[in-house]
Amino acid sequence: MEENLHNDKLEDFLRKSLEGHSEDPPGDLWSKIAANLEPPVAELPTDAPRQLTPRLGVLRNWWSVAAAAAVVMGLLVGQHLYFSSKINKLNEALKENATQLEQLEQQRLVEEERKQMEQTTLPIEEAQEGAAAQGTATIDNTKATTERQITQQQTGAVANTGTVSSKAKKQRNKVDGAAQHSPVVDNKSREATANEPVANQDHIAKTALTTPPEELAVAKQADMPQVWGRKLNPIDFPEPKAPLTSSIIPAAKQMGTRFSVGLQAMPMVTNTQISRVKEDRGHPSGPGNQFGERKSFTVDKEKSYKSWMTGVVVETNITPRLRLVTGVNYRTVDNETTHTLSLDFKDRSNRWEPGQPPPSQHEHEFQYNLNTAAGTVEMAVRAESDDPASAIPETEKVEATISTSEHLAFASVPVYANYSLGQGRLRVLAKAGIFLNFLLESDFSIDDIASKNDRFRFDRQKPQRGLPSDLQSLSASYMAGLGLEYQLTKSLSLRAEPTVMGSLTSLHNNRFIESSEFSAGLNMGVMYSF
Amino acid sequence: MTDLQQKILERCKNGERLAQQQLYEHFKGKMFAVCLRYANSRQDAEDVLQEGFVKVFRDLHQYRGEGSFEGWLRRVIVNVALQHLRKQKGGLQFSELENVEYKLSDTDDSVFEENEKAAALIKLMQKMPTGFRTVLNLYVLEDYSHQEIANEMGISVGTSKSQLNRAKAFLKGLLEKSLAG
Repeated sequence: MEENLHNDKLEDFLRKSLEGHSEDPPGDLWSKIAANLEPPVAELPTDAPRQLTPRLGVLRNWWSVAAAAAVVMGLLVGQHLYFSSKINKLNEALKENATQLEQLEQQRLVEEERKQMEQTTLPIEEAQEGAAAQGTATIDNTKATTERQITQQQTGAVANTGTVSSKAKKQRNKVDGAAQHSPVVDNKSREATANEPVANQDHIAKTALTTPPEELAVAKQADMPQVWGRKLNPIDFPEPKAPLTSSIIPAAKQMGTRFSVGLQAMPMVTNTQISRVKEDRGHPSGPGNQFGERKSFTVDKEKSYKSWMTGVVVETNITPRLRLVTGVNYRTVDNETTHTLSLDFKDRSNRWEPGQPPPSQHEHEFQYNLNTAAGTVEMAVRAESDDPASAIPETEKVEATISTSEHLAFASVPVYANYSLGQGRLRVLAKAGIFLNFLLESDFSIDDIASKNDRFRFDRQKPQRGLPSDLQSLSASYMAGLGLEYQLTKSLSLRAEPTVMGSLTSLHNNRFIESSEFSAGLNMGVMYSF
Repeated sequence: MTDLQQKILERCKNGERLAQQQLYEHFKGKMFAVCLRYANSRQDAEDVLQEGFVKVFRDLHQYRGEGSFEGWLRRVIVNVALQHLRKQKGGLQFSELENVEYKLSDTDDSVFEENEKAAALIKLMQKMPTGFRTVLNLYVLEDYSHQEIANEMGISVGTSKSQLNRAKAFLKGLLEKSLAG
């Protein structure tokens, strides 16, 4: 040992003697250390820490999903009942109208036939007058026979209205067809019809005078359909080209409730804005441990990515073009945010309770608020200068940059109207409505902390402590889009709709913070119609 | 660092008490020896060790696997020891060799009768003025440069150098007296 006492060898002597030296401390020291350690993460009280795991438990998720499902079911049932009732009433009214129209049409045809028959008796009466002048008794017999036959036929026509009606319809159709295909023929036939009474009368009168009564009766009966056919001219019987019942009933069938279900997915870009409602109060001396009253980081840069919305939608038509849509979507928002802090040391918020002596200037830790899309969290800062002789001045800058990743997940229930434009397989779709967003989970992590002042160190553990319930469980968003729908088959269609969404209510449940988000994406879906 | 050590560290970061105790048990002897070198008494060394390990577990996330963990742990303990010395009455005081009134009678003549040379040496060092002992520890045993010592203790580089020379002379005197005794 003595040789080691030489001055230039003293350092080596000390190193060799002391390096690796071990000496056991008292046995109870660990218990003292353990008593001063923070409790493990699993043992932290629920109201103090800000958990990195989803802040909503299974039970809360279950209730959110159940609430969303109840809203959807309520909308569907209510919509079905409302429109089914309206459709049924409309169908009943249409059936009643159709019956009345049939009856009216039959009555009109019978009446018309009766008038025609009356007109055909006129030449016979004139012939009878001529025959009377010649004093022949044959005429009386002929007239009587003819009138009986006509009366019998009229009676039969009335009894067999359906037969007459169908005949009349066929004849009308023939005339209509002729009129449509040959205007010349139509004009000729109209002229013939106009001159017919006189020519016909002369012909019948002459025939009646020269023909035996039995033959005359047979000839007259054979002529009847021709006469009726000429009289059943569309000019004389203006009717709708298509029967009213046949045009309305299919439309009523179209009005029936039709359901479509579909799957959709929408990749989005989301921008979240966080702003303070109330200005911070500086805390050079006060306790300042009230949430929301302390200075905050500002959001310097926020980048969104991997935002998705997928889900099932159900839609039903209000009119052939207008449809009401609802469903359930799972929506996620992921952000990467850079927060910056540049404040004076005097703006700190000390962690001490009112009534207790304040911490000394050189030995304490303090907090700032870090507002993220996933909630507000405390950032604990410790001053490294514990030397009373070199206390940190109040004007010293506390500067830091913190990068965080935030994750939000929602169950979103859409309620919107979808209006289709155009015909054919390819149609334009315009939609607008709202989303009800049920928060399922929120999560964040601190990726990096960079303090620009070595005298202040930011704690990476304590930021996990967040404000309780600082995110809304339910929020609302608006939605609008314009896109295309392509009908693959009668039932299957594809959609692609550029869509925008924006929040109507703040995401945060914090009176000092307002937040909003705006998303843009391409909604793609496949729909199946029943 | 082995996988096992890495796992223990990860568990410590998660606040698992059992893993923390394992870590403490593994390093407590070496770290207590460090504390004894800086402290004025054994009781002070226990306080430093306790405070040091609390700080280690609290700041464990700052260790990112760069360099040896023992080196990082030792540096934390040394920093706590320095803070502890600053907080003591009078803080760190630097003495001129001529002003040091060291009485040989204060020295336990039986120190080197003990087989444990290191323990005896530590007991001698505890009798050194705080400034001497601190600079000697930092420069010789922690491999700090004079610039680092100056920054750490808030003194000039020249003061650090002179304190080191005087500390070595003082310790030499102590050893000579002890051996002579």
